[in-house]
Amino acid sequence: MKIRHMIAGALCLLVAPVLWAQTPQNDIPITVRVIKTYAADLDGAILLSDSACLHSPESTHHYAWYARAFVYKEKFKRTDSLNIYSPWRETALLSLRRSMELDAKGENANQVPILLEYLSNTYHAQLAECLDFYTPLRETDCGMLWGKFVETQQMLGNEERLAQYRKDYYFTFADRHMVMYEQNPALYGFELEKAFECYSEILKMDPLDYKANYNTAIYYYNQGVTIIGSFNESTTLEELIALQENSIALFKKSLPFMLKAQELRPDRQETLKGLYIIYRALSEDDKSFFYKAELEKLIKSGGANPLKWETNDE
Amino acid sequence: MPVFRILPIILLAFFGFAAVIQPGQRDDDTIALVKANFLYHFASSDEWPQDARKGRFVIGIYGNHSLFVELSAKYGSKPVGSQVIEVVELKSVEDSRYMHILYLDRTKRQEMAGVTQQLRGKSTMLVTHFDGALAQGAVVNFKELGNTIRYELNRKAAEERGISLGTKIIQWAIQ
Repeated sequence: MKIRHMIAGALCLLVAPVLWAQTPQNDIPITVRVIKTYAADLDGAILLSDSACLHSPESTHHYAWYARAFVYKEKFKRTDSLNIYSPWRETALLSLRRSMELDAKGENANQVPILLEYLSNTYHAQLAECLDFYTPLRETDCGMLWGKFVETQQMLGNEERLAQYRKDYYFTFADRHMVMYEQNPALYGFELEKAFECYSEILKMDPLDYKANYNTAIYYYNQGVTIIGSFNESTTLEELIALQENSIALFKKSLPFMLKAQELRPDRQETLKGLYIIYRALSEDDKSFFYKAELEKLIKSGGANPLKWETNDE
Repeated sequence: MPVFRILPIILLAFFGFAAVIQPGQRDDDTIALVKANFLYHFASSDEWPQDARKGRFVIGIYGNHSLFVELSAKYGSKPVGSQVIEVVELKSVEDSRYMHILYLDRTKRQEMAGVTQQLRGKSTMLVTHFDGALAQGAVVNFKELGNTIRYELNRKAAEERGISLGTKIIQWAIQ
């Protein structure tokens, strides 16, 4: 402990002339003390920083808030980095936002993005872990982390990058919902609905996404099949006719998505098979036979294998 | 301004583990499922002559393997009155075995004349799925109505075969 303090102290001594030269120390004396002490006494620096930002004239200075963001970030990093709801990180982010608001001239424009990027990356890493070990109980956590990641990326002005992140996120989340659903459809039936919601979000961003179109088509189609598959000896004639109409409505909803998927990837077997089956379910035999024949032609010519799924970057 | 050193976190591709699950399209023949349920209703809601109300209730399927599969799986061995349903898949209609219901698929429509000849004088309900079948002697003919499967009836043909159609069956038929 003593050695660490000695090293930190030495570093401060080394840095001090630079700080003195570059920091508007006359305006923000408490913040200067924060900078000088945080390496050796982080908790003390946090208290000082709180006092600078909350109870002193320094509260209107962007650098006081930046320093506060930094020491809170340090506290998170050193003591609480596994806590997805860490109040230290949350305070760091809030302070950073305040600093950006106060720094109208962009005097600290070089430093803020670095710290912000760090915070953003911590949300990202935790989000990836949350999705990787997803269960329905972690949905709120994933959603919160995603929200924070988006917030930090927006603060960084990474709107363009964020669009791709957003698409990847919904694909991954849809995938996780499907994994849960397929583990136990009876218990996790709601996960299918959530996967579909993810695909809907992707289609809002990119209506020409092949996989989202295909999976949406499958979602509607399978729901229609589930209804018809539930018919049994206790189904009345009235129910048979009414439920059949419900299924047909779902098959019709499925169709434009499958047609779009086929248009986007005419080389894939599963869309031809999909259209053949949907038209068959709609009793449109001419079209069903047409797509069946197309599928057979494609299989003979060695078209893409429907069982081999590709990654979502296609 | 002082420089705080921040160790960058190096991250691999965003969600590099993304999307490997593909929801599979269900392959069930929905038309066969619907027809199977209709056939069950015909079997359970209509009445056959007294001499046909013993032994098994036989439903023959000719020319539609999916329908045979679905009907057998869902309704085979189910009771109809005091009888139990038995579903058989026919290779030809020359089979002399008595059937309560015979489904003749549209793919076998060219054999309609032979089938009606074969069933002459028998209390077999001939069920079909092609235009003009009722005029050729079918009792029930499936028909598409707005993409759904419905059915039309030839009540005279039913009477001739001694089959009494149930009220609900008549009520839900396409007029």
